[in-house]
Amino acid sequence: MFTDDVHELLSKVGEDSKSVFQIGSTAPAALLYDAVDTMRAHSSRADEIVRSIRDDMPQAVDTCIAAAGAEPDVGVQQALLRAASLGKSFLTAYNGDKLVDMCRSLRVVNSLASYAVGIPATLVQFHSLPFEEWVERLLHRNLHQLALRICAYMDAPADQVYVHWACAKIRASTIDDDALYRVLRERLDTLPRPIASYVDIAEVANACGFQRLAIRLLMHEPRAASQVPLLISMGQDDAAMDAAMRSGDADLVYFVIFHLFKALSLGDFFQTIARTPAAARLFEKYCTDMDAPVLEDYYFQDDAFAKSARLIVVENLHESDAVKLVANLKVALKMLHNDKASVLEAHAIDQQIKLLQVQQQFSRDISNEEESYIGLTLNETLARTLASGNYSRATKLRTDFKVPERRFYYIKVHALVGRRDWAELARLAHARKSPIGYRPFVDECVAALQYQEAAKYVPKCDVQDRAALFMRIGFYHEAAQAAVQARDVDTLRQVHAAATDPTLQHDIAQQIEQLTSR
Amino acid sequence: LTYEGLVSEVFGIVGGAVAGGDAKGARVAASGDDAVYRAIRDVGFADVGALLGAMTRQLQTSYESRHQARTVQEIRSFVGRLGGLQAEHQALKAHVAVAEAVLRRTQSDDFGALLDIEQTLVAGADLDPEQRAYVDRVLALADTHAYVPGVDTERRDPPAPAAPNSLHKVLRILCLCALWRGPALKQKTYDAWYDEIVAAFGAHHTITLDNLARVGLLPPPSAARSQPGSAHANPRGFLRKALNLAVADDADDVAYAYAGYAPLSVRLLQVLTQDPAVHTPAASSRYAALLRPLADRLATQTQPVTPQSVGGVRGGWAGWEDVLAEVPGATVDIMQTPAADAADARAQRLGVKAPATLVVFLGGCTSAEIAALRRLSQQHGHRYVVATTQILNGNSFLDPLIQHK
Repeated sequence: MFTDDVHELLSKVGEDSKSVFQIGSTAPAALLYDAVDTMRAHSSRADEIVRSIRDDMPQAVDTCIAAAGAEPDVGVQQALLRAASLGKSFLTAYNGDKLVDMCRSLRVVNSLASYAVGIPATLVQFHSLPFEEWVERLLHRNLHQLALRICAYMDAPADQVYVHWACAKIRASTIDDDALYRVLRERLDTLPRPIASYVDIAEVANACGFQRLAIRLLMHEPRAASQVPLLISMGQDDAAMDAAMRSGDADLVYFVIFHLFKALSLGDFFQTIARTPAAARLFEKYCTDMDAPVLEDYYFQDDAFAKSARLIVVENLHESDAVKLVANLKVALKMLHNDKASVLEAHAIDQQIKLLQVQQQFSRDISNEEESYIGLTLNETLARTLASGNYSRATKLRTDFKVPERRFYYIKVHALVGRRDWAELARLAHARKSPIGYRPFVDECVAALQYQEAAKYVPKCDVQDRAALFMRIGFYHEAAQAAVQARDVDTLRQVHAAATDPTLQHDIAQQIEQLTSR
Repeated sequence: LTYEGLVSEVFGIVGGAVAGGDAKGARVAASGDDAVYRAIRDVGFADVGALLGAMTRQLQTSYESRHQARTVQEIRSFVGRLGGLQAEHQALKAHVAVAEAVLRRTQSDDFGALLDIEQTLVAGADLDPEQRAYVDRVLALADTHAYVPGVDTERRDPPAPAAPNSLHKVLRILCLCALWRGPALKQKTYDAWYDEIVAAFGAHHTITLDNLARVGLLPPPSAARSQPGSAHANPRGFLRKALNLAVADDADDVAYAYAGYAPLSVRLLQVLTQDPAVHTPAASSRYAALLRPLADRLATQTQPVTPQSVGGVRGGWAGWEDVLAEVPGATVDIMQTPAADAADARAQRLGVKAPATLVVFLGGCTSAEIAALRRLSQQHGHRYVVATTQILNGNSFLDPLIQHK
């Protein structure tokens, strides 16, 4: 109850207080309370009283403690607690925590109620709010010393006290940044455990115009996730980037990057992130993943010709219009020419352009082809040209694109067998000594199940391979002959085992004899 | 070349099951939950058939035991087990089917040729003409729409065999060649390969080749080949000798997982654990300084190690710095020492008896490496727990570097 002059508390008397103080009360607690007085007076009555309480002693002690909690007067509190303590000494198995807690709480409540502080809360009110709230109220009154002592007494962390103190100091300060910083550090360095968060202090410093102080304070902030946003809001982009990089947290770095992207002009932005290579790479990665169009500009201003060219290639992967594709690739080629290290790449793109132009021609000439040549690889183009019988065109392709002999032969053999063009295959085999040997001829025929054709080429293979090759296509006579020629007894035996013709088997047996007898 | 690795390459393992299921499309387990799979996953492909056969026979005898049941008691107990036996029967059937398909693949000429080439390259030798002819043929008849199991996520009906002429295969060969070859790669050779790949697979693979160069798997000869600070012209050859990576025919050595090649990662772990396979007397005499175990809480002995006492990280990299210098990538050596008592107390509370070693792979490791580590666990009598960001096979390792259409 508040009046102009006076603040009064009016409350119902609790059960505990009643049982102790009611006139004529014979409750164990009341007896205990009396016992204390008589004890003081060294009267033997104390013992009588205690004995009469007997089994009710725990209850008596509890009641005294609770009553003490309800008393506003310190003297009475103490008397009740003394009574409880006296009673406790007669008990063997009583948990003393209740008493200790009550003493503690009362001490805090009493100090809060002192006239200097002016927060006369009752114990009930005290327990209804969390401890931090009470500390806050003290802090609001700038009673930092008391708050600290209470925190220490109650074994609670004192961080909020120091933070509040620092903020208050800053707000009230008239000295400059550096001196203030020294003052703060003096105090904060002496702490047994450093405070967890400098962000709030730094914010206050910033709000009060102590920019440099704020930055220095932020450097102490262990959590980069708190540091960075504040640094950015203070306009300290470089410091923010540094802090983000140091934290190793990619998300934070992105946070800074995006802020810079929004805040700066494109040119300035590129310049800024170029200063931090790791951030530049992150930006690049993000753009690549998101297919962001700004990547083009980035490569362009960075003179990253090879990358720009590659970007074009990737963008055009699904381009089916040959004209557009050629045009775009030409742009890419021009860029590659600017980059000395990209000789191979430039050549490859150049070839691709030429190939596309050739493919365009093909598609125009051969109008009944359902599938277009556009976009095929060189080898595929060759293969398809051959497969459709345009041998001269294929040869021209080969010379134009300088296809190595071996590769050409492989492709041609495969295609001819696919077409079953045995005449042309034979021509190919006999025109010159095959640069790939004749195994591939045989293998391709066998794969196409054309054993007769395969047999034609086995004799051109190496001597030691012939027997096995003939075996594979089931030409046992020839296999036997070849094995004899090669003097290969093992294979001869294999042929013998596989052959079904008895005359042949007999012959083979003879041959084996002849060979082994020598 | 463990069974798991092969299944991963032939079919692909997705979400703990074989991609595409069995012939009917039912799910075939490929995780540690399935008892059959657990038994066969780490086995070399040559032994899988025999192992499955043995398991089938055992199942058979279990079934037969019903004839021996005389009393009602025994019959009832058999019927109780019947459910489990039938489940095992199903699992075995499915796995046998998968194994057959995988084994057929390993018996194909194509597989044999590739394996042969890879082993030749890792041993640092040049390819012989027949092997080179194989590579030429693959490039010439390259299939740009090759289906690469385990990498391509769409399912084909019927499941297509792994394409023999895919870009992945070519790149595997080329990268191995570039990395393991003794003398440095000639510019001419690199140029020729470049042309071949572009002609066979398309010009957009200039990007693929650039990626490979940047990562260091297929560096153009013009780029600095050795690491800065490396003393050797052929860093990998040096590594091969120093760490005994090419092991010919040792069934006990971890090299069984790749049929003759010990994974570098596992060898490095063996260095740390003072495994005799690496710390041969010859090797020790090269590094005169005795390997002093650091103040490592896991080290309990300081005597010379006998094979049984090996296990857990002991000692550091002391004496092996030149080896480390050749291994690509920065070396980070940090000892974290929690308060010894607190950790001991915690271990006791949690009932942990034996310490374990956590091996972490950032970027992924292969199932063969995991199998090798399991084998190492057995040999050392010490738990090695593997943590990895993903499990790779030869194809999925290269796939992110390839610029797909």
